[in-house]
Amino acid sequence: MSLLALARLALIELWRHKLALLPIGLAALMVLLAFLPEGEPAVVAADAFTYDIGVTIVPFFGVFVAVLAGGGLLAGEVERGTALLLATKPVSRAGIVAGKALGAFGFIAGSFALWAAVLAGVSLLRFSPAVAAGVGLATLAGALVAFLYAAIAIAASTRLPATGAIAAGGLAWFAVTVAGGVMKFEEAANLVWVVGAARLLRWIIPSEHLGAWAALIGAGGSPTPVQLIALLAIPAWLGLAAALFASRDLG
Amino acid sequence: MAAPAIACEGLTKRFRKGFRTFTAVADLGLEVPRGVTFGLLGPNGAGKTTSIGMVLGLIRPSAGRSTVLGGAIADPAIRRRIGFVPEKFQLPPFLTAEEFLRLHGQLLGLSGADLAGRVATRLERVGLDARRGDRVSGFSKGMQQRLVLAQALLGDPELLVLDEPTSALDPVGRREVRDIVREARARGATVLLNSHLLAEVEAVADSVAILRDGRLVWQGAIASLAGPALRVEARVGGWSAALAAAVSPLVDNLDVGAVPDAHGAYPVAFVVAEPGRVPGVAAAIIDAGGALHALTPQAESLEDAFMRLVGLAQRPRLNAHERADPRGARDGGSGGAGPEGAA
Repeated sequence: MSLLALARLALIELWRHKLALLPIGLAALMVLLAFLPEGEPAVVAADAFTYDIGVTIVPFFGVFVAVLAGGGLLAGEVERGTALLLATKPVSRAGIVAGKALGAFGFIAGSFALWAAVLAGVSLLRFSPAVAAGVGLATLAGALVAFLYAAIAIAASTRLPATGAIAAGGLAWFAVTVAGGVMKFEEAANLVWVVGAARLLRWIIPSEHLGAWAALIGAGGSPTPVQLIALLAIPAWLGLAAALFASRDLG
Repeated sequence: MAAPAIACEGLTKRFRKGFRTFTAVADLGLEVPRGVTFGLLGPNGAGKTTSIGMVLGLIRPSAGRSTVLGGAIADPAIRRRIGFVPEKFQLPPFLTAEEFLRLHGQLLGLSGADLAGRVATRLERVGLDARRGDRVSGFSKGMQQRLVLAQALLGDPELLVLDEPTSALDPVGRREVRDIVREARARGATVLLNSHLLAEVEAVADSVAILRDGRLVWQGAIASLAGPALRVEARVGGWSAALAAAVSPLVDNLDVGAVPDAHGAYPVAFVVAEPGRVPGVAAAIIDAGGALHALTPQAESLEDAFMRLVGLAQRPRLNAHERADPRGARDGGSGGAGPEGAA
């Protein structure tokens, strides 16, 4: 019950801080883009629609929402001093992290569900049921990447103020993106250390594997073993968050 | 026999600031019996809030150990029996008063009609029942403090820890907090009260511990706090240098006012080493030709004792209006001089 109470607290906080305007705004933009006259920057082909919006834009925007949602929840409690009230209740520090994470993940899942529903609906109207199902599933599966970055932001928020935690989440995304670029020089002998570091980072933050999984689901495929292992990064980051929060002094 | 409400031994907290280590609390040994109201006192920076934080498991001690209600604070069953009001907080502005209490009630394991009933009665107890549906963002600091107090009372705690619970309250609110502390004590709860307002602690506490520079300097019943020294105020007619010379060897910190009252008696204050010396001082005044109009021993207040114990004790002073005459109130601490002896 404590977990659900804390998750509800997180959801109320995100809702009343008007963070829901972001996913709702993007959903409205999707509808607008889909129905622009052809020949404009509108989507004209089913595969382009699936790729450009369902698999690329939504996960990118989802990471943004996830970092905003995860970065402030614990840090806000610490900054307000209300973490003292939570920590003296019969719920463990790990339980506080888990409850808050549950709320953040619920918010993120809701956002992705909204986007998936909008994209699937638009696809159904403009293309075919098959396209609609694919784009819907791919969009929904994109939430995995968002969960990962939310977990990273939550871990950062156990030790940093909200702005710092949000920045850390953004920095993680940027670092992984750069690492993805570095991997193109995999064959370069003089960059062996740089490439090794990039490879390591892409395992610590395996967003690429999770993103690929989403694309695969959209295309009707199944996840590979590597992608399933990458999924473990989400609980691992949350475990780190719980350990960091449990070991910090409050007050 | 029940274990003490709080027992700690060798509790120490060292903070690292850059390359320097700062000891906030050193080797604290404290025992708070069950069913008492216990005041934790000390000047700013004495380590009171850090001590409370360590006892409640909010701050990890560098050394030492503590138990609360006979168990470890890490045990959720122990924490369920504790109510806590922290010193500094800003309540979640996005919650209503009722939502805030419901959340904390749920964290205590309450639900259904029991939770709803407790939320309603606690809101009423702290005078916020009419604002139950209002967002906390519109609450004053005093109202937030009342709401946090209501939160601490939700589970009928066996141990109520109040860290500066009245810092933002008006006199009415302070009185209500005193009443709440007395109610908690009446139902058998232990109250640990940390307050800068010594008169408040004196009004409700049975025992106190005094910290200074992170160390415990005194712990015990308030009744046993007063030292043997006694402050005495007197009104003496015919004060003279000879009279001062007769009295000075018997007292400390002799202070004589400059302005006599309508009967020609001067205000005099001094400290005797023990109450049994007061008659001797009275006799010395009379033998030296003084007219003793009044002689009033003053019981040492908690504030006086606190100042003495933390090393900030000052000499007894006459009231400002009694010393207002610039012509010559004399400080008679070492040989004393009255108006007649003034140069």
